[in-house]
Amino acid sequence: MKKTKKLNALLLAIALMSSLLFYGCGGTSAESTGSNDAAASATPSGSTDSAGTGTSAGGTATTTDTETASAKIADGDVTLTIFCDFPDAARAYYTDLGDNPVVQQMEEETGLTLEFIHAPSGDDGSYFQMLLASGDLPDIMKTNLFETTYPGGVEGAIEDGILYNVTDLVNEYATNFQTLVNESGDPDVLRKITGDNGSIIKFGTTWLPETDNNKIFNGFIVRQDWLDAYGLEAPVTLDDYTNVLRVFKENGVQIPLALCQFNQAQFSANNPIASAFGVSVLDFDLDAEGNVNYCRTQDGYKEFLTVLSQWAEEGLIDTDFISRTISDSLKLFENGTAGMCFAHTYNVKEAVTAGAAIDPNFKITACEQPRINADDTTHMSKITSSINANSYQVSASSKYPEEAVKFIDYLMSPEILLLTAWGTNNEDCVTYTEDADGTRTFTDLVTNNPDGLDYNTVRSLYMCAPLQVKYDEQMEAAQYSLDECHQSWAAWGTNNDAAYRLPIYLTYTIDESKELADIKTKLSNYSDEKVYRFIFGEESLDTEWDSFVSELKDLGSERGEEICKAAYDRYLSR
Amino acid sequence: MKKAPGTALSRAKNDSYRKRLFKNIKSHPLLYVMILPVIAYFVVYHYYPMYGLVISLFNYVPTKGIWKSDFVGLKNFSDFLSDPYFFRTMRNTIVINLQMLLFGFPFPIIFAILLNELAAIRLRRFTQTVTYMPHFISSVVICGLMLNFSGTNGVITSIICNITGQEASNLFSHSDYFQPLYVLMCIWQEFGWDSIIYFAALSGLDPALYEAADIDGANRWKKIIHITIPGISPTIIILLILRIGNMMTLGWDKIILLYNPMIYEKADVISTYVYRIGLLNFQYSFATAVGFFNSVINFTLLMVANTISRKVNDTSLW
Repeated sequence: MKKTKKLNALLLAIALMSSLLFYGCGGTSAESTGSNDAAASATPSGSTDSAGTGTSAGGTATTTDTETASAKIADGDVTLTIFCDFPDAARAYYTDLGDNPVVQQMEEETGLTLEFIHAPSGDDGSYFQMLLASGDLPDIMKTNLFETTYPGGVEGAIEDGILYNVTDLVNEYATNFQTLVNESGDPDVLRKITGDNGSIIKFGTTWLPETDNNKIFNGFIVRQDWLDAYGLEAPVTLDDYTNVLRVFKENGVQIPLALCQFNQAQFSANNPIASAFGVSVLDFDLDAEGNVNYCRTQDGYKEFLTVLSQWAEEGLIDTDFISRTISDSLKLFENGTAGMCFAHTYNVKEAVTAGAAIDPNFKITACEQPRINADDTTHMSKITSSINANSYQVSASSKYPEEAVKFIDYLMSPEILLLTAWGTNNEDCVTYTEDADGTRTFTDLVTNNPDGLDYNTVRSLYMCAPLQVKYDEQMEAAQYSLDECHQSWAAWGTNNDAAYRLPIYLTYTIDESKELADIKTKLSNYSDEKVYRFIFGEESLDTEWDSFVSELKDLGSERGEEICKAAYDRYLSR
Repeated sequence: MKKAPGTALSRAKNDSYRKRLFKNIKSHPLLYVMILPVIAYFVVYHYYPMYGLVISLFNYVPTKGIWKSDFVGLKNFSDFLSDPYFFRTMRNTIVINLQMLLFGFPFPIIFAILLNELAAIRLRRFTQTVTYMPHFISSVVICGLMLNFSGTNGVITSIICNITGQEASNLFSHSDYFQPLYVLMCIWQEFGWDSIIYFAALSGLDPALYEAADIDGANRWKKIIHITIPGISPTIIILLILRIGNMMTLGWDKIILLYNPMIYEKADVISTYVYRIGLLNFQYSFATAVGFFNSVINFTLLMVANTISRKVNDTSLW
């Protein structure tokens, strides 16, 4: 009897310690073990309890104590289910975002119980579609799929009874949102967040600070140390690129250029290589005269494919790129398998530390967008401005649309913007320091973690990027402080703009949008694989190209062009 | 189960079917209770969902429900018939399934017969256990292994490249390799498990037949040809018919796990197409129309196989 008691005590001690270890500095011990239990037994009541009785553990909130009273949205009796991202780096530590200390603090302040649904790691977007097909929707969804894929867009989804039209509730309750709209320096902002009929379709979209404006965040990065070793310059023209890749290949680099699937959002938004020929990778785009074209029917696209198939034949690109995501190709780059890859400025920062851990000489440079002649300008990149494509949507089946809108607006309050960007910063877990002028700096916990966790992991454990509605100016600056990051903006912005991209804020009527979605589905369904087959020489560009183009026209590419052109003309005349 | 004992049957011969059934239920209530769950299962999971086929005639939107969605008639069917990939998906579905039938079906039979001839019982049991183990591995894991082994630096790739002398590259990026690899993988995973039923049939054969053959001086080969195979042929025929009936639906989850756009040309089958178009692009009605096609083909094949079998050798499902 005594023995078992002792054993129990020992086990308990171990359990406590391990949970402490797991969470590193995840708030007070009472809080973290509590949430651990709740997560393990998956009982929502468990977390309700901890939110309700959490007063004892709640002494952690230092900056926002005064706000607690006004931030109350419910009194422990409302549960909101949220579908949002969950960083892969956090998956080893947390079961879902509910374990994040920032979220726990939010629950305490608002009195809401938050439950999370996340797509599994490595999901290709099909998880959300399954969720939608099941008809059992979470209250709040953070996604851009309604705008990009759903027939009829957000307005179509409202009409179909899937999404709740939040316009009235937003006008009534969303004071923080109105502030953000008013403070935004972007004159087009209302055009970006409202649909044709005046309803708000991008409530809770991600707002970007002014430092990010007019920057291009994506492009190719190359191993500078290898360029130096082989006496090369960072490539500019396509011929330079070919040359660099060939030299890499001759010197035993397994994959000179690690590409990713074309439908990776960042890749298709920036259209590298294809932009040299004035076409996008997979979409409708503009030309110099302002006509709308479907890229894959253009001669430029044939030239683009010719370049890639040439590279593929010489073994200069990854033979498996069609099954790689951007982060897959990035890993190849970081571990020295690849010499060049497509990346985001955020990846540049990651790659610098991850690469140096493997090869001490690891050094990277961002390359200018490839073009035919050095003084050409490419026009197909995404220039960041004011808001990005994600938005929060409230489902029509939600029992608490009012609370949902209030919660999303709560995420936009200045205190929460700070909290999600910088972390809870309580005494056990000091993520930043703030000096007298209000300048915040990350502590060593973040920049030089004692447990050896990289920045990305630390950020996903103690801060809460998935619920971050506006990127914090100072945090963005701190995050992109490396010279390499600044160099990447400079390189990718050289002779490169967005002039030939269709503005993403075009509005279509619901019928147009449905028809366009239908056409786009047919076109990509037919052509995506054909494109890959052309690249890898399974089909010949010389003999098959014409029938490929005529098939695309049969599938409605020209009708699609008409719809886009009409919407574009309306956009211009507004 | 429904057949009443002889006497009851003769007594009730002149009654109507309903009366006979009622009497039968009264005399064997338990048997009918036992069959209820089975009937319920089929009604709930196999017949009731057929009602969903009507959405192929509508432009279905889940939240609106079936009858409030727009009626489009046979548009989805004609769309599929004019789809650029119509013939390809049909061809792949048929070709892959024929290969599975041609190579996958006889394999467990041969394996069972061979193993049956093995004198060392312990070795036989051991082999049996080892070969049916892969059946219990989830297809996600199997396909993951397969993708790894067939990658640029994978085991299978190295072996093949060493034999043929080609430069190593991901086998799943060449459409020509997909079908053989897929069929081999399926056979490898399932042959041990599939052979169990033949073992059962084999152990039911009358040893006296073999003894008689021994006395007549038949060698092993003759015994296999004249006793073993005829002995298990009813089992083989029934399984063959069942297999043909399932042909178009078998194993598409594995194809989804293995394929990529490069090899759709040889790997994309009707069911995977339904998944891609229907669920990933919200075209529920179109996908239903395509799936309906699949079922019609399935049904036709089953009917044909059963009729042929009944004509040729009297063994059939009905």
